[in-house]
Amino acid sequence: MAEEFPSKSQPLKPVVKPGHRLSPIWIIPVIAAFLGLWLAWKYFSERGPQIVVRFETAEGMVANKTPVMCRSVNVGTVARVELTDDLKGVEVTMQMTSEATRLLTKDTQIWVVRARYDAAGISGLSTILSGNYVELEPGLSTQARRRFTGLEQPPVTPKGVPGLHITLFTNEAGSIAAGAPIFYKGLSAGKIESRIFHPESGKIEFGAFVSEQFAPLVRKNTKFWNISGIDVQLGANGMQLHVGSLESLLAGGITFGQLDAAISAPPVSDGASFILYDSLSDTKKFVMRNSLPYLLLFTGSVRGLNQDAPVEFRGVRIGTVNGVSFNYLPDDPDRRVPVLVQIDPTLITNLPTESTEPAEKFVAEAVRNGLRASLKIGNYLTAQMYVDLDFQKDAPAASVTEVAGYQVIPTGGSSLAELTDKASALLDKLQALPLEETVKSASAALASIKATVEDLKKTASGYGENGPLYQKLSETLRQLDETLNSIRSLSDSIERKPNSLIFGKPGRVAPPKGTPRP
Amino acid sequence: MKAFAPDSAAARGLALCHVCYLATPVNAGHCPRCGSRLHLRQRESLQRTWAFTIAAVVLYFPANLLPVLRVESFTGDYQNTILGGVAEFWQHGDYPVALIIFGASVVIPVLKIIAISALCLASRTGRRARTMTRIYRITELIGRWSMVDIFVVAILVGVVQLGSTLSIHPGAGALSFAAVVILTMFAAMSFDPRLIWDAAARAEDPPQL
Repeated sequence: MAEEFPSKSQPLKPVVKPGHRLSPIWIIPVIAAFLGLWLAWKYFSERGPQIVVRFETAEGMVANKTPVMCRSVNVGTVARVELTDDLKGVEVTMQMTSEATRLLTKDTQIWVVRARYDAAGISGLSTILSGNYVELEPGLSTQARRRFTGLEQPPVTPKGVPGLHITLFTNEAGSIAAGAPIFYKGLSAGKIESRIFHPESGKIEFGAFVSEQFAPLVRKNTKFWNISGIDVQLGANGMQLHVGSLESLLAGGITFGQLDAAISAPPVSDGASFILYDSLSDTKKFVMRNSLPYLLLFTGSVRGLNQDAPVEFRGVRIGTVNGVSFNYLPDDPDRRVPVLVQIDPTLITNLPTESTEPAEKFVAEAVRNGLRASLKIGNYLTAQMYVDLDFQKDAPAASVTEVAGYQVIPTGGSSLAELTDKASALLDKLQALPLEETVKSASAALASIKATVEDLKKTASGYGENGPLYQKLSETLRQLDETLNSIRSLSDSIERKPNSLIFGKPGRVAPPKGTPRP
Repeated sequence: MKAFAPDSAAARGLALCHVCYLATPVNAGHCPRCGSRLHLRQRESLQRTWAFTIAAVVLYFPANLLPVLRVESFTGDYQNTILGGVAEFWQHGDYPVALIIFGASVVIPVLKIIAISALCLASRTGRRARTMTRIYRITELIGRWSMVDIFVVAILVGVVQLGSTLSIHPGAGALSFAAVVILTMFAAMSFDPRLIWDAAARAEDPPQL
């Protein structure tokens, strides 16, 4: 080995292997490239679509942090929060995961879950710690969508839950708000979903949801009434205190039921509308759903007809008197009394309630067929009047006319004026009778009757106890009595011994032996 | 033909054993003392260095784009990339921490990749040999500091495991980042600085072939 040791003077030829051979080390960057590509593919495949949701406010939403949840499963993250161009809201861009793609359909609902205290109760308490998050409720549609408008309030009932969606109308919202419970016999049967105020009609519209189990109980004649709060009734049975559930006490509540159980009305379908009464007792009050104003022109006095007096059709109330005032028709030459009434023909018909047109047509047709308005006395003690609408067979042809902007139903029939006319005519006739002469002859007749009675009295006194007739009569009666006695003894002896008639009356001797006794 | 610097051991056919550093004539093939194979220079030094460097460059992208840390707590999930973390520290006013992370995790790996690439190029041209040697020394020295991030992630993942209350998991970015750092270290290791001087000698006196 020593001779092979190199020295400075004798350099050894180095072993040089052919260069530029591809080293197996290049597998490393290839692997790295595959790894990088795989990571990139994974990253992009997990990224789903981006959606833009419009909200009024971005309260509690943090870019890259606030999660988007669907039934507590993370389906995305808020990516950007920007003001809209009109500065009236915010546009939240959300990066969804790829699994979430099919959740993003046309009727998907998106809202922010934050701690809330409202009519529906306390919700979202967990967000106090975790921060707000965006909740996504998938819809039923299959049509894809990428731009949404977020809900400011979480929807009460998720889409697709089977049940009945109806509308309730009321004049007073009370404590009823979205989320308030609906009870049936104390069982939770549904919820109020929305509350909309209609300024033009002054009515409040509630969207209500009744769960599937209770939906068949909602029928056409079902009444809904408010049971919020405490109901105290003082009556002959003492005091009655009725308190609803604590939930209804806090959030307000509505209950429903069939009050006239005798009539089985058909069940309703989605979208049916009902009146929401303030209390159970109010359900018996008269309420019109969509009333029509009509003007009635009466020729006679309307004394006794007050505002809020009923308008009836054959005894069934269909409307209310709105007012009695000449202001409705100030220039009438006949000085007829204008009476403005509100009537609801749908109460006695099956007309659709969506618009007033069918009801107007119905009234016009009825007037052509002889429907007339008249005043009638409802209470003879107080002389309260009501307006009666009825068909009159012999009424002259007329139709609904328009006077001073009001539809006018013609009046006719037995109005009070006619009644008064008849009464005065009767009195006139009475007055025309010859009363004085009649009275004179009557008194003369009475005098002669008196004389006759005197004579009768005298005649009757002859038959008295001391009268001669009486003495004679009693003597005769005594003799008759004696005669009758002797006749009786005769008949007795003949009965015992019939032969005595021939042999005469026997002495007191015993009868011979062997003679058979009777 | 590969040319070595005229005053180098390689020019005289002497190789330094890679393991026991015994200078031995390269013809022997194996080190007479420890028996390991002898090479005049590190085998395929440039190819290896390039390969590691390119692999590091490729993985540098996922390392910075993917989250390195995923924090799961009852307040929700939360994950961050390296640059996202830097930005967050900066926004919170923790400028020194932000600078340290930025330096150790972003600047150093980039500088290292650039430096190794420069060295590889210099070992062909042979220019500025002294500067290049200094760069090589610095590269070897600072390389390990890039692992700061990985250590932090490793410690956090190990220590903070409070179940559903708070737990930290490494992200795909952490894995890529560790790979980048390791690959650049391998690249620096597989680079033979003597190649710079060989090239410098060639540049001064081009071999007659």
